[in-house]
Amino acid sequence: MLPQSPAVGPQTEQQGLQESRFNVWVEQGGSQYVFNSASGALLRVATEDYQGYRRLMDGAGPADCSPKVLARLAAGRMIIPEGTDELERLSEIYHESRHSTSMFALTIVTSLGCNFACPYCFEAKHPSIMDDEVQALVLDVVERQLERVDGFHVTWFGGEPLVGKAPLLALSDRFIERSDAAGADYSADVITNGYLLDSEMCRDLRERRVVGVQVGLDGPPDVHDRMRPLAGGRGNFWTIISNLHHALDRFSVSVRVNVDSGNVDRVEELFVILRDEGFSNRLTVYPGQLVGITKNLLAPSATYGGCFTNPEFAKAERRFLELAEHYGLATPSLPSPTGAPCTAVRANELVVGSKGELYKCWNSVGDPLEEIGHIRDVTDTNGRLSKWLMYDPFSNDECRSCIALPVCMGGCAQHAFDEDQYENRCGTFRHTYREQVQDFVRYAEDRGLEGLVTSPLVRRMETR
Amino acid sequence: MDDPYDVDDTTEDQAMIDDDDFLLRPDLPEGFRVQLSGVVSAQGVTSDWLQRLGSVMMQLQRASSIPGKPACGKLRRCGSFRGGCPNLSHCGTYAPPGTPTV
Repeated sequence: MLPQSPAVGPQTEQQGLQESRFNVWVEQGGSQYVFNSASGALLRVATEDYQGYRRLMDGAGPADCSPKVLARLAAGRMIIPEGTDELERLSEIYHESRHSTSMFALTIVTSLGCNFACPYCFEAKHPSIMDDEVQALVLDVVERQLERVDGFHVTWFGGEPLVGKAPLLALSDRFIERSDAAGADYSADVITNGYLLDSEMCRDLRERRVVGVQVGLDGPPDVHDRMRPLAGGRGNFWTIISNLHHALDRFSVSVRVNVDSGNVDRVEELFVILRDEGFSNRLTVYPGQLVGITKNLLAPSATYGGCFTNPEFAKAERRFLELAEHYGLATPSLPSPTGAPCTAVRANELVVGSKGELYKCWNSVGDPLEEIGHIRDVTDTNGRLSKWLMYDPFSNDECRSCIALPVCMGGCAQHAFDEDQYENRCGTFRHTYREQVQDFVRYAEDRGLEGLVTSPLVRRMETR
Repeated sequence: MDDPYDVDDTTEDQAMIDDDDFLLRPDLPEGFRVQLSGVVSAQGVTSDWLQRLGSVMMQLQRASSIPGKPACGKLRRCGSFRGGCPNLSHCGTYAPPGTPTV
C-alpha cells in the first residue's frame, strides 16, 4: 500500500496541503525530480528547495520553503488540498471517459485470414474477407454515429488487414465521404505484418487518410523468419525491410518487436540492420510482451511457451529501450495519464469481425465464445458485453494501491479476467516506475530539454 | 493588492507554466493559470499564502479534464502504455490527421 501523505499548513478544512500519492521522487546530478503519474508532469527541484519543502511537509513550518517551488508543485498536482480523494477523482475520469460519446471508434477486421503463421498468434484464423453485405451494415452503423460525434477513428486489423485490401479501400472511401459531410474528423491506422505494404499499397492507404502504420519484426532475419514465417513457412524479413522504405515516406511508422526469452538477446542485431537501412530517427521500435493465451484452444498461442512474466518483461523492456535509444530508434518516454484505456472497456467502441460479428477486445477476434453480437443490430448484444463494461479497477485493492493506476487504469481487462494471465494485465510502470523516471531524467538532462518538454509521445499499437 | 491567483491568461502566467524546471509540463485546464508575478513577489510562505494556494488547488482539482481530451477540444495521442502491456498498447485517444509523433 502507498503511504498516506501527511497534511501540512493551516489545518482548516480546505486550506491544508498534502502530497499526492502518485509522486515518484528521484535524485539525479544533485537535484531532486518529481514525476506525478496522475498529472504526467515532471519537475526539477533544487536540493535546497527540496529540503525546505521536505521540512514543511514534515511539519517543521514554512520558514525556509520557496513559494515558487510550492506553486509549481501545485501546478503539477504533486501537492494537493488536504483531504483530496485522488482515487475518487480518478474513478470519475475513468467512468466519464468510458461512457464518452464524443468519439466513435471501430477496429475492423477486413480479413481474418492471414498470410503469416506466427506460432504465438492468439487468433484461430481462417480465410474470410469482409463481403459487400457486411460492409453495408458497417456503413449504416457509422452513418448513425456520425450524426452525434466529433471524430471517427478506425484501426484496420486482422488476421491481416491488407489481405482484405478491397474492403479496406472501399470502406475507407465511404467513411471519408460520410465523415466530411458530417463535419467529423476521420483518421485511421493499420496494424499489419508489413508483407503487402508495397509502394502502391502505401499510396492507396495514405490517400485514405491512414496516418499510422505498425509492423512487426521480431529480430534479425533468422529469428524473425522463425517467429513470423509466411503461412507456407518461407521467410519475409527483407520484404518487410524493403516495404518500410515506402511506408516511411507516407506514415508515422512503429515497429513492434515481440520478445520472449528466446529472442530478447538478439534484438540488437535487428537494431543494427534498421540503423544501416537509414531508419534511425525515422521510426520507433518498442517491445511487446508475448503471452501464452490459452483460453482459445484453437489459437496457436495455446501451446506457446518461453514467455516472460510481467516483472521479467519490465526488466527486459529497460534493456531493450536503452539499446533502441543508442541506435536512434526510440527516445525515453514516461506514460501519460489516461482514461478508460482501450476499446474493450469503452462503451462507444467496437471490434467488427470479417463476418460482421462483434467483439469488445482485439484478443477475442476469431473466438466464437467471445462474440457479443452482430453488426446488423449493434443494440442487440448478448450478456458477454456486460463483463467488459463493468470491469472496474477501482474495485481492485491491488490497483487502488498502485502508483501506476493513473496511467494504466486497470490495464488489460482481458488478462484480468483470465486467472492464468492475471498478472500480465499490468503495464511495466508498476514494476519499474522509479527506473523509468530516472532514465527519462538522465536522458532529458544529458540531451537538453528542447524537444522533450511537450511530452515525447510514442505510438503503441497491438499486433501479433 | 491583486489576487495573485486569479485566472487571467497573462504573459507572466505563461512564464510560470513554461518554466524550464518542468521537464514535462502539467496539462492545466484551459483558463487556469497561476500568476507567476504573485508567486515570485511573495516574500515567503505564510499561513495566508498557503490558504490562497489551497484555494487555487481546489479549483484545479475540480477543473481537471479527462486525459486525452484537453479542454481546447483537440484530440491527441496519449501513448500511455510504454509497450508494457501486449494487448492494450493502442491507447485509445486519437490524433487528427497529420499529427506528428516522436
